[in-house]
Amino acid sequence: MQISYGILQRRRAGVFFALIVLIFAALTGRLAFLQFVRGPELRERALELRLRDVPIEAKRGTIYDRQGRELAVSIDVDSVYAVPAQVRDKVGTASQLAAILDLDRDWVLERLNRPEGFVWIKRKVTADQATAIRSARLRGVNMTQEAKRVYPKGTLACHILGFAGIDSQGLEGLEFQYDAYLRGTRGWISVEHDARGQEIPQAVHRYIEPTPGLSMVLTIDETIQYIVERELEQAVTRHGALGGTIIAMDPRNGEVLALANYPFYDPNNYQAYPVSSRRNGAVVDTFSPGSTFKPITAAAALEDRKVSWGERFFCGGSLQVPGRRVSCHKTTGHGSQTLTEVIQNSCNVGFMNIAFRLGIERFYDYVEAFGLTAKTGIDLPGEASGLIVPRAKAKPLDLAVMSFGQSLTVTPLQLLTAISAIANGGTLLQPHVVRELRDADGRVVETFTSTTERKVIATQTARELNLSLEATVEEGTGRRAFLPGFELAGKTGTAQKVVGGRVSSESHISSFIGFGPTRDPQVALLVVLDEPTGMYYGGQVAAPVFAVIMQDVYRYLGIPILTD
Amino acid sequence: MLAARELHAYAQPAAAERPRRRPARRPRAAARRTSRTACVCLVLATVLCAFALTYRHSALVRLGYQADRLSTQLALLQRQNGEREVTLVSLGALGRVQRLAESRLGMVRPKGSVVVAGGALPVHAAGVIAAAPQDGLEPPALASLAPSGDGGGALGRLWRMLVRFARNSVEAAGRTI
Repeated sequence: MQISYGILQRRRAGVFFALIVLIFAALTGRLAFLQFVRGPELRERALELRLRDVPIEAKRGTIYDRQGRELAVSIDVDSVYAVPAQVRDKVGTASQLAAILDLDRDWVLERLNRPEGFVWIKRKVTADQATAIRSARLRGVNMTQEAKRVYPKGTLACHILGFAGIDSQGLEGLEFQYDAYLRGTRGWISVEHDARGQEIPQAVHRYIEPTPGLSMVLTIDETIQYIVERELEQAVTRHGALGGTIIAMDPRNGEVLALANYPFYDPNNYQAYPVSSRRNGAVVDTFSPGSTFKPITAAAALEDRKVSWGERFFCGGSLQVPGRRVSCHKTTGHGSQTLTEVIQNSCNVGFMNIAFRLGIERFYDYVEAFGLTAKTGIDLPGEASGLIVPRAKAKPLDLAVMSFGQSLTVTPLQLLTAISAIANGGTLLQPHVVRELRDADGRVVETFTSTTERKVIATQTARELNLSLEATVEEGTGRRAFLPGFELAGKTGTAQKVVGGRVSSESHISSFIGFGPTRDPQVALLVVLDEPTGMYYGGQVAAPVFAVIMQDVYRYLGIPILTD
Repeated sequence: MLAARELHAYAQPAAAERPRRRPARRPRAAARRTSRTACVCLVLATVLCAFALTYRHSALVRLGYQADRLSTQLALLQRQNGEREVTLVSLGALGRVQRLAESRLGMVRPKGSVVVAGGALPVHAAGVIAAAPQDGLEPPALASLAPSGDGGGALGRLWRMLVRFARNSVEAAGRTI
């Protein structure tokens, strides 16, 4: 049977039509699949091609002193970045960027040639540089906002505050210790860009707001800190010392009012200073306290009733202890003295006798009770603890020399905390530098109060010892710290340094520790000068510094002065 | 004749229809013209609408870019403001204040202290320390350093207060040291 041409034509047309329908059906199906099944995902991917995520640094919280004065603030600055693929004239762009941002042209060119989607050119540029970059309208070069940490008072309180790095991360001091609170949470902004890399107005913007960090109020007082730093710098310069440390504390609650180490550094430009200058020696370094340790020995013996104020002690210039004859600083001897005179004269022989009455076990008990073998727990990083001969290995000779502050080391902070316990009536408090944390609206989020560690000695013992230390300033070795009407109590200290494993007769640490007013102590102060040249006795070198600081601090705090 | 008649008769109705056809032709042309005009108007309106929409859109885009520029300027100004605030805080640094006080105002640090007791001071300040005469801050010296002019304003008031305070100190020195 022969099929007619017309029928064949119709069949072909039918097949062709069916094919077309099938193709269209397949295309429609694919379209529907892409639109309805994979639509959201593809839309997202397409958007991502046009969107660029720019991180927004959260502002670090401000650090205030106890009076609400800013010590560390964060400001918004611009950071310059490039999208290498969008930069057409790389050489020209590199030249312009290098000229504006004061960078090496080849270095910039190398970055622009990187096969990366995003490269930093310079972060945290100045306002003038940012304006110049904007005016230059460089293709593929953009700016984003970041927060920069600024320390408006320069070197003031540098060892307490520490500093934050380029990514606003705390690296030292409180910036490091409280980084989790200060840092806040980083935000993001996703902006749709056109083919030129310019932001498209009215286009898609995704904004995840950064959460600013908590602000911090310190126990530090800017004025007292300034006084302390000024006097420390002058003292170190005057005596040609290697360095020094001064700490001021409120013995009633353990609040650190000032803490300074010399040399200082500027946290705004910390890279320009040697790492050694960034050490917070007051907390991380130990030293031989020398005679400033003697009040601890006296307090222990008085509390254990091993000595009494009416007793007399004889100093012949030296004392024979098992293994060695130990000399007093006055080799001719102090003769017969009362306990007050032993403290006033800082008589080594007298203190050795007191320590022997106390015995090794009780001596160690009190050293531990005063917190000299453990960290104080201050909220500053890297705190060290003092070194002492292990109790089990201690011999009479060790006890003899430890009684006047040799053969053991403490941090300046440990020593001041222990003396503060004597000043406040016998209670050991944990020192701290942060008073409270506040949110961006100024609401108090957390308050840090003083923590009582333990009662070390009786209030009566402490009061009697305080009066004895006042007599040391009025008539004893601390006369140069005397100020009429100020009621200052204190103790001098001169310790020989250990150099190369041997006690050096050339290198000394001069110190003075004290507080005032004796009957209601409000400020406890420790002055330590490392290797002063020429005069090196604590009474000659450190005591006058103590007096000058106390004079200014009394005036500033409005502490009444006795007129009789 | 008949043919002529027939023709006449044939022609008669045609002649009669002619006036009827003419009015019928006129509305069709008019309608065509009307529809042409309507089309033109429609196209024009569409074009105008398109222009208006494009103009509106371009104006929006222009305004958007302008807003973007302004927000950039705002951010820049806020940044500058932040920097100024930091500068302000740093200007109040105590070290700087002391340097300026010593170098520009000729002030000196007190060497001694005087305890002033008197009715002019609050009760709690009975032990307040003031500059002693030997500190070089005697009233004449203070007077010579006083700001020029009528002494009005906060600085003037502060200065007068300082001078009065120093005079009181000198008077009180003899009885309270």
